[in-house]
Amino acid sequence: MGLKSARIAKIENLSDEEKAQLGREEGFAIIEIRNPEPREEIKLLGGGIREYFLSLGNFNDVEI
Amino acid sequence: MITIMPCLEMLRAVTDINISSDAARKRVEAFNIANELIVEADISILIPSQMFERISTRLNDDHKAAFQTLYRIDNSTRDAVPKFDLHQAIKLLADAESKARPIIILTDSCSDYSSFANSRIKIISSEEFIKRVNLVRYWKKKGILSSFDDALGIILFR
Repeated sequence: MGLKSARIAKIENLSDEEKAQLGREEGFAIIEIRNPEPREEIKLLGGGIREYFLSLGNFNDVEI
Repeated sequence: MITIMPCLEMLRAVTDINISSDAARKRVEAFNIANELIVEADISILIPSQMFERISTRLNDDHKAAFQTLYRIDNSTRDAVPKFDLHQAIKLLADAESKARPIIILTDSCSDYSSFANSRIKIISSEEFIKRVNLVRYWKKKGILSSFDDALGIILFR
């Protein structure tokens, strides 16, 4: 399913249920919205933003 | 509110398939901290469209969607400067942006951008950026700050 948007959130601002889902009380999370059936997914931003991007797929090996 | 504009070498490190040097690791760490500041403070990350087009060759559709929604991709210099003159694009955009809010140009080639600097535009290396933000975070943890944003602005622009 295609990613439509991503937002960074503080885990402390999430609901108790979402904190439990992530297994963390603090730190950073990514809130994704995916299509075609719009739905929200929450991911832990544990390894940093590069790790998050890599979770979406490998980068192309080209010089820029 | 502060705007952070990462230069190409920062985004090149973030999107490299292998992180092979300490310098690249520092760039990734600095960019990661800038991302955390989006929610930790009143910060936005601004990327000229020319730079986004350059890094787009490394990105799949999901990467692009994430970039386009996490950061401000600015098209305003697209027709104003030759497509691949990133230096000019950064200058034009930094000048305009600085009239609205102070701007940090995050680069490890500080001397290339030193002529852009003024009281509203600061050029900072990744190592210095990490050091300064961590200092403010330390003060926050110690409870000696009344405003994280104010302290961040003072320390980043000193």
